[in-house]
Amino acid sequence: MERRLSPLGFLVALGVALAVVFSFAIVLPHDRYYRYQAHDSGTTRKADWIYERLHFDPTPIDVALIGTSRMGGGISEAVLEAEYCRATGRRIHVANLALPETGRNLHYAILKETARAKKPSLFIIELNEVESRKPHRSFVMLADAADVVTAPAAVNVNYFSDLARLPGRQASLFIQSLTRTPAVSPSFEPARYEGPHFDRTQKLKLLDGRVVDKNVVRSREEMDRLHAARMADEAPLHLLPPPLSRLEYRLSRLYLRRMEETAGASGAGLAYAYLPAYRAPAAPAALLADLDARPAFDLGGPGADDPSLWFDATHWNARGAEFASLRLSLLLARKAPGLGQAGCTPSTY
Amino acid sequence: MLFSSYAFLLVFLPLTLAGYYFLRHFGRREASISFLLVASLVFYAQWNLAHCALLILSIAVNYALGRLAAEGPEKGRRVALHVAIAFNLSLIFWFKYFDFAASNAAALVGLDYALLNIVLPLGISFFTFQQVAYVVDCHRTGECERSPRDFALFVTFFPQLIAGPIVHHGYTRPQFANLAKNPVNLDLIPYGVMIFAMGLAKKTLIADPIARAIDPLFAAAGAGDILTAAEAWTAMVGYALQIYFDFSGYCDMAIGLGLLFGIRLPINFMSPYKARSIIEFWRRWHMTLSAFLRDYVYIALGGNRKGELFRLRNVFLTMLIGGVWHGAAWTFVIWGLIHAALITLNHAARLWLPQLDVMRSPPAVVAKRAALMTAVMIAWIFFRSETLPAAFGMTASLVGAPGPLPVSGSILALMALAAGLALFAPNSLEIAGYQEKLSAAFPRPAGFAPKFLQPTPLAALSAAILLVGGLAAAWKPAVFIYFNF
Repeated sequence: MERRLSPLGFLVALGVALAVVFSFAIVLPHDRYYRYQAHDSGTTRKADWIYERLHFDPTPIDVALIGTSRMGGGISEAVLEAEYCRATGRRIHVANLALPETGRNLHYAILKETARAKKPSLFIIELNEVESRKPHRSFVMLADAADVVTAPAAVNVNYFSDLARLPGRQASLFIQSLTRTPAVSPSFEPARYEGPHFDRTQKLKLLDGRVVDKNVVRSREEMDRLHAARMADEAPLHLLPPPLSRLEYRLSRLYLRRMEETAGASGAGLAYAYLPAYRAPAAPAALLADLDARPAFDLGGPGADDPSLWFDATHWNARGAEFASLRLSLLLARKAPGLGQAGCTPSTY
Repeated sequence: MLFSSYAFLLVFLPLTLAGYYFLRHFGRREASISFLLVASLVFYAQWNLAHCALLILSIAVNYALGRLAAEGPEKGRRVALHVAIAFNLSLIFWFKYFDFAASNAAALVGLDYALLNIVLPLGISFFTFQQVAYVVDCHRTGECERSPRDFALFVTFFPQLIAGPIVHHGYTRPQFANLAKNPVNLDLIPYGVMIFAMGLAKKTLIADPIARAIDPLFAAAGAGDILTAAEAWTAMVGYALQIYFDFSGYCDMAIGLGLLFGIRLPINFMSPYKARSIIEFWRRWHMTLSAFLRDYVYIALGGNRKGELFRLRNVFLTMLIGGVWHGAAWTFVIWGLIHAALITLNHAARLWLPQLDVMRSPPAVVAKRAALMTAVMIAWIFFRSETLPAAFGMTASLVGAPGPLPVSGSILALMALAAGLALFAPNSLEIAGYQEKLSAAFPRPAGFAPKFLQPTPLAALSAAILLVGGLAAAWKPAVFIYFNF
């Protein structure tokens, strides 16, 4: 008969068993393509395309855009490539890898995956007039298990819940890989692949099949109303008094630093693009002051106050996206004129 | 903060256990009891601060009236009892039934009624009933709780506050008094962990995935769609399994949590789908509610004091009240009526067709269980549906056009496993050899109980697997069904 443990002995055995079961679960192997297929934002899908672009599409990536829905729906790869060619005579390949919602930890996971797969010359990271205090809720779905385990715990409100979810993710992906039953497709299907560009500046496809047309122009009154509603919900930029304000947003700073290091290790440059909301200040808040030695392209400029360029209080409409994309291509041509390869044919988009 | 949420599992519970045992470690046993009260109030307050104030008001009023009902002058005791019952029933009527009653009354006389949409305080049905029972017992026995803190903890002890079990004061009072003076029986802790782990797994690995699969079917029926027979049967069977493992999981977690703090809670759930009659079903499902209804409603209605016909009437009315207790909607009224009719028929059959009751051959038992399960599952359709047309529509679809199965193979396999567990396997409290009687030894001594779960290394590993699996599946926790009542 098995030995009956004392209460303390049982708790120790439980602790050991928890560690063993957890460790066993998180080392379960799986097809990483299936991991990216398992993700959607709730309304849209993109992560599977990101994986396909990075791993199945031989088209190189010179400039990788990483950010939120503002960048995802606000920058056209085609415009950027064409205008950069027109300005510099060089051919670049751009991939817009932005995913909806905020959280620098996910940006780090995407940057790391991109650096590993494609070695771009330049990463452009989105900056906003506000910075998220929270980690991205999709981090646990897309990041490598090791990154979830080694994420900072002290300034990360999701750390323990991400850790708790990890065994379930690993077990589920393991079974999917074993039975070849992922969310979308067991293997890469070129016919289903969207191609090297994932342009959502004109239209947005939702999971339920609806298509949101972004060719809308709103009046100043309407935009001001949306802006006021947004501002009413906005938390103060700083909750701590000025001497302590640098203690805030530590998770963002930490992951931005990790991104810089990862990009640097892969030989890539890193720059920031400021994508403001409607009527936001002309420059990002100095939340990330220790990183501001990097170039930051201001994509708002006069467009930030022009209501005809906005879809809602934080996202450009189709015209606004063209404005921002043109602005980024010109700033990029000026600040980084040597990207890609010499020789291109200026095209329309 | 659901028991299966990360906020509870990873923050509230570890902090509360740490604080409780920290105080006890340094000999602050009284303080540890006060700490449990504060933690329980925090647990409730994080849902809604105003409702926490209401809970405190309810506790204060019942404490005062309980003392009066026990210790006041004879006339005052009776008045206190009636005031307490009126106060508690008014509270529950206002929050739970006013809109329903007013809108139906208005419809009856052809008036428009704008719903007040009163937000139901969580657990109001439970803490109100528990306090009604307390004041009635005070009046009957002349004994009451003198310590406001201990009374408040009796009502708010967080493992049972939101969805039961409905606890008698005489059951927990000696336990808290013992904890205030003596060390915790640490032997309870491994059992608390194991029973809690089983409950968590039932909730997040069985009930919630089934719920996610069948919710669209009930939504479709609610939207007026005509379901195929396959869809209706899947929804009905799926919900029967969902509510079984949801409530069973909750009850296990409540008992497990109690044990972690050195408190035994009464058994509330004992494999009801193994019952062979509806009477037996209600002795196994929500047992403390059944006991409350028997002791404080059925007896108050007259019980069996005026002959068999009156007894049957009282049984019927008690079950109907039990149905309506679950919610203010016609669907719950119909559900209560079905169960009231079934249980009354069962009692009548025992009286006038006793040969039915004694049929024990295997085919007879199978037939009885099949008939019972069919009736219970059809009744669950009314319990789950948002509206009566949706419920009747789904019931009609049970004999509708056939169609493809609406859920994946993995969900079907899960449902088959769940059905096997519910119908044939020993339940978690049987496995653990749990004893609710405070006079009975628990945990059972090792040498005398080899067939029960023991705190062995293998049990620790099993608990770890259930905890890791349960936690991993808890990323999208669904509200416990009984939290709605």
